[in-house]
Amino acid sequence: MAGVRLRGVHKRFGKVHAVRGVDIEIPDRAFTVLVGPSGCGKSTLLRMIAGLEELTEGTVEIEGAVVNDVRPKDRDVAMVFQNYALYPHMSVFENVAFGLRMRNAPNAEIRPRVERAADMLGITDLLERQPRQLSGGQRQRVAMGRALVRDAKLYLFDEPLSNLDAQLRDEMRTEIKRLHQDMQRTMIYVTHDQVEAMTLADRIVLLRDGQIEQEGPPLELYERPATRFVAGFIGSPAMNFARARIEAAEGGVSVAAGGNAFALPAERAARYAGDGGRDVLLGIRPEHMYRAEGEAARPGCARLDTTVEIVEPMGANTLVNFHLGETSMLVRLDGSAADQPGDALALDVDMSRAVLVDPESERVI
Amino acid sequence: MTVSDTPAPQPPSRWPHWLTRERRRLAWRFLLALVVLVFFLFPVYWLFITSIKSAGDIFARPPVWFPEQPTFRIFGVLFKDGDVWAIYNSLIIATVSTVVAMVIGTAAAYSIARFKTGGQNLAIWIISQRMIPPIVIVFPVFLLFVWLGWIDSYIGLILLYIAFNLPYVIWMMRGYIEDIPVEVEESALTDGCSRWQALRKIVFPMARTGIFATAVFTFIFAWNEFVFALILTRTEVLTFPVLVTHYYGAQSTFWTKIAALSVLGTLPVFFAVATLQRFLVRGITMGAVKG
Repeated sequence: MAGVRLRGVHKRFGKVHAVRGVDIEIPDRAFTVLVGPSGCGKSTLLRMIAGLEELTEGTVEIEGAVVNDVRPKDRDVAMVFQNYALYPHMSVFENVAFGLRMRNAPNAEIRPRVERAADMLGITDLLERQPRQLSGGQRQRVAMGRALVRDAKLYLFDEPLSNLDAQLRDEMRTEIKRLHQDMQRTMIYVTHDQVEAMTLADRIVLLRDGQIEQEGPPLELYERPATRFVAGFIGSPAMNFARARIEAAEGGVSVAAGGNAFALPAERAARYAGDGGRDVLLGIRPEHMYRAEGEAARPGCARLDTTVEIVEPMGANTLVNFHLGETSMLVRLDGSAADQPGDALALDVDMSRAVLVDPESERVI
Repeated sequence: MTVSDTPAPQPPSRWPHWLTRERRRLAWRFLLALVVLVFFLFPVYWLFITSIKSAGDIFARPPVWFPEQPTFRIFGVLFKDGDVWAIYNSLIIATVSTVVAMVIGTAAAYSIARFKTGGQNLAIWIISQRMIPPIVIVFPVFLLFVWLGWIDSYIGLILLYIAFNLPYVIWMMRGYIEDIPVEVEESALTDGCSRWQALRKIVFPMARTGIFATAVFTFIFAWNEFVFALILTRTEVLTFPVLVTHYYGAQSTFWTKIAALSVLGTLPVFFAVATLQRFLVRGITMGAVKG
């Protein structure tokens, strides 16, 4: 059981209060991603788990034992750093073997283990090279190998892919996911990239300004964001937000925005029946609007007639810009869309998946 | 369009055909290098040649470029009279003060670089010590040393050189240590190193270039130092630069002795740099790659 628990964790760097009271429970063998914009405290949290940063307040527990005063070398964690942090004066083999040597693994054991890790990561040919002779992607693999060769309780990744180009990043992401499935170890991964967070995580912890904004399985954050920040951060392209007002009438509840009224489906309407006249932000994901077909809108949807402004074909799908009142909106249509700027566009807006946000508290209501 | 087999006729060159443009360029470069080399090496040559001349040849006109009967007699005299003891003194003082200054200075530099010891200003304050002209403090130091009984002793000069070199060592090593990404060290810590092991296995090997370069310059400073050594020594621990001045006299100046002792005094520094150069160059190419 290599679960991790943070309780009431605070970190101050001088006057900067980087982490403000974080409680997280990370289950054994789970892949947990700490995600958030830069400066949200996610790397600091990871470094505190590794023992590289002291806590100002609170406790870190690994396997149920408080480790606040345990040195990094005795915490039995393996860590992959953003800028690889390879030892430049050692060969790739020695880099990977270093952690084993420091833990006094018998020599007979080191070579097979390094070779197995190298094989997993496809760096067998590079073992005799020096780090300076490697490309960025190869260095990243070596850095991963250095962590994976260890039989650690806990694997920590600090934005390991952010220095790679897009294609390599996608490859390595898949690789990391596969490694987690094979190894079944507790992994904690820090990133600012919500795509990485969504694809890798069993569980996402979304941080903002040193506090947890929301945590849960990726799809829960996607489907049921708790705040405007989460709704906007998770999902790509980001969710559209438009100023709106709830209108409750006898026939049901609708949301008025940009001169249109979007009727809420009956099962959601009841919740907002008492909110008539309330100003809100209407949040709709680009993928939750569909090209209208037929006379009536799809079930749960509201019809919107608008005009195409900008068309961005992406291949598999096409992003189309339009205006809802004064707000610029984005909709994702299928790749074969032949819309031209100025064309009329009729959309079915999926109001069963739309979110309504209180503009004051920025919380989803 | 057809391609002609015969090359276009070349205009006749004023150079022989084997002296290509490439080779001519190379020849010019060698020539220039030779001029520069002669300019810088001539004083060294003249020093050496003076040490093996007979006294009459030294001021001969036209100058004697190479003595007809070179003699190493004067070197023998230096050894017989015990004058080479000054070289030995210099070696002891320069080596011990360099080693101690490097150990203390590197530790201090590490602390300043990694833990921000002393905040923003400590490093500046330390290097400012080095800006004091030695002559300004030599008399207070003299009085102090008289009181301590350290005049004309190894311990006095060694401690003084350590004190004088420490700011330089700290300043240089701080820069070299700051150049090592802290993540590499942290990676070693999570890989199972204690702080001390991380230093020994990761930081020092990575900072090797800087350590050697700083040590060489520290050694050279101590080797060449004159003002302190002149005033704080008498007869027992004369260093080599001080002894050289003893050969200048109001009545006569022993030019061959000056030259011979200078040759001997140049050799240790020459060998130190020549030996370490190998490491320095290797270190430079190692650091050339941005990791």
